[in-house]
Amino acid sequence: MGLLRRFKIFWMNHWLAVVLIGSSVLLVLATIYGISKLESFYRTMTLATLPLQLLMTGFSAIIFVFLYSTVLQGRMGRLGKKSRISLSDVKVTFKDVIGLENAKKEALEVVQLLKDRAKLKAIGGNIIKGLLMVGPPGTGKTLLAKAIATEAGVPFLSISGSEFVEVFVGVGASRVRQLFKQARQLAYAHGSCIVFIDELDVIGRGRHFNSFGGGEETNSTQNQLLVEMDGLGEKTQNVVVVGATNADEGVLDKALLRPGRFDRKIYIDLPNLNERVDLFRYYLKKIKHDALMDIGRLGRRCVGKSPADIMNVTKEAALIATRNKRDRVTYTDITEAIERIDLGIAHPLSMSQIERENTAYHEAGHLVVLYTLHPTDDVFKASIIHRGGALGVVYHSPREEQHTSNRERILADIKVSLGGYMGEKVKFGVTTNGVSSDFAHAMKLAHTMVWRLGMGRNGFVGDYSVIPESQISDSIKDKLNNETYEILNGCAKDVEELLRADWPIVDRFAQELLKRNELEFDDIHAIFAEYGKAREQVPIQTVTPSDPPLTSGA
Amino acid sequence: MTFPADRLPETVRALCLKEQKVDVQARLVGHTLYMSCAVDGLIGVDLDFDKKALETLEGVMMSGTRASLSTDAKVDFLSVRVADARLGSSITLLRYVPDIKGILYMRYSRDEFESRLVIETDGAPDPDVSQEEQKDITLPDFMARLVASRLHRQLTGNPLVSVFLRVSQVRGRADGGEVVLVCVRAEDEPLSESSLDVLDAAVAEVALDVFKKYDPNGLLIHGLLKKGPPGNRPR
Repeated sequence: MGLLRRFKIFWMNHWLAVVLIGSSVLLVLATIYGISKLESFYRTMTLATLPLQLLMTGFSAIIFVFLYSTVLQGRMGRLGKKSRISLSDVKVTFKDVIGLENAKKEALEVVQLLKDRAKLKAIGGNIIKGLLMVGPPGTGKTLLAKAIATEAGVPFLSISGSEFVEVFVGVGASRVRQLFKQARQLAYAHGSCIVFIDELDVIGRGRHFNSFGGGEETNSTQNQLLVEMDGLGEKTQNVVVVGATNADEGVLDKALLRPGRFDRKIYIDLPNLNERVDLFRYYLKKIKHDALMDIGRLGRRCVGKSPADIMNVTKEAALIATRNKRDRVTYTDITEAIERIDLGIAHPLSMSQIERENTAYHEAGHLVVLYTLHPTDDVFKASIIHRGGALGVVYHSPREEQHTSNRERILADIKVSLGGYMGEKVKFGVTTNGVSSDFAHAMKLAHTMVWRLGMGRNGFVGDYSVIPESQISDSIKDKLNNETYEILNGCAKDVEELLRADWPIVDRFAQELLKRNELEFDDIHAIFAEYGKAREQVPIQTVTPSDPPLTSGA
Repeated sequence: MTFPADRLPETVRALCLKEQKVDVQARLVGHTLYMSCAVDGLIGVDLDFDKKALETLEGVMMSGTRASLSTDAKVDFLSVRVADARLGSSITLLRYVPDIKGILYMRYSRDEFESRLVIETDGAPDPDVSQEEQKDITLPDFMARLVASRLHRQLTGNPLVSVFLRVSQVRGRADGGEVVLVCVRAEDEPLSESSLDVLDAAVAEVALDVFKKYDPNGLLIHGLLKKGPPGNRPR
């Protein structure tokens, strides 16, 4: 780097300190000259009072600086001190990002553009301005952004969208300006700079303008962001903005998504089976665990879990193992951790026998319907121990990722929800208020089938929920509602028939729950097998490690 | 030192020439620094002190103050005299130098400082006062002249008081441990007893105040003698 450039960078970063120190030195020299020119009596008097004056001035300066930094500027306008993260702090490469192969391929392209920016400029091209990562929480968006910065070897500025929001108007826009000014300085020094904005939807939502011509405070923040990314001014520095959001793209402002701003989008999904297994292997490597543990089974157990969830599960399992005085984590610890996270901590309540029986038959009803009828889900646990506000629970999850639900599956969900009600009704003839949440779930599903998904038998096709109810005729509403009731009643009848037909199994499960409180997957399968109703076990796939991790050299 | 003792009069004169553009005569007599100069028009047509003349006086006083503070000569008293040959009169300001240090060190207030200034007037228009008249002022001399100056200001400050008591001038001097005050009256008519009592009380109060400040232990002054013109009762 040339001497002039180095001087310019130094001046950009430290001009205020240089000016202050220079002024202070000049003032001291002027003071010495002035005192030397005084007559002897006044010189003696000035020197005698100098220490006291310096002390009083020092106190005044300290008070002023304190007030200025805390009230006027320090807490409001300034960015957090840790917004600048150096590469040595990050230390995340593509190897550390498990899964996300498609996302990593796109990210690698960005990295290579940053590394070969000189060649690109020679051709006359421009590196991208913005990269948007969209995905559910905990899927590795921030980690991927760090990996991009590390692999590209450029400075990395990280900030959350919520840091731009303050009570006072204009502070957000000011922070955006500060952030980009800092980024441009770093880009000038190092050739390029990455700005990572997490939770972009906080400031990136569609702008709203009220009838008086004004707007929300976030409008000004977003406007400033738009200008900084691709505004009127000549922006010669290579600042790449990487944004991450959980919100749907439709929520973000269209001006933010247009070419020239966030023109590249990476969709980061929840991990599939292979990726989940890789994640478990990665996180289990960091703790002592049973080497014979079936990690494939763990992967199947955690359908729909994000990498952050899996990390949380392994940490929780380590705590459980420690609490149980074991020196390594076992499969039992992990399953207990999954249940603790998903279902909550068990709080045994002292219930009367009749209440316990009600709960047992309720959960047995759910369990039998689920095991028998559901096309996609497996039952992993049935319990009548109080957890998270529920007296009992039947814990189930899909065998593999499901991205759509067909009629059969939704009907199965409705029947499972009604299984508890029917279990109580068949056994006792009366039911309890414990069915309210099941009914709400079943009603919602049935309503959605008819009103939104066109799955009724009456031939109504379309989403009637988007039309205001006042514009739908009463006869159509009646027909749609009748169809909903028919579905519910039909499902209830099917469930009743099923339970009455398989009542010995229901009764058996209820008695086992009353005796043991909880039943695991193997127990459940064994009981069904006793009655010859065991489902064919889906063979556990031999899981091979995922493709070799992507590196920047690939 | 900014003003060396062996060249004090010359440096003071040079200072006044440079800063006030006034030519002054300066002499160091013992521990007293005498400065004098001539002005034209001490009194203006509005029968008040001319502003320019006052500025000259203040400037010369300031220069003298600076010199007396920043010299290695031991200067205790500073006397500045300004004479107006046209009017045939002069005004003399006399300061005790430690009082100047006192106000700079904020030992007392500005009002107190003003009250420690001796202001005298006489009919000598010539700024070049003879060397025999310029003698080393002592602290008793200063105290006597300060008492006289303050009495004079009190007596002439309110025109009715001067009419009733008929005192035109008060002079003071020290004489062998005694302060002698001489009241010059406008008329020879004797004052009434009550008037004399008032005058006595005023003299005693002022004198006591001055002696308390400069001679609190009574080492220098042990008596006060009041004298009037012939025909008045001596006290």
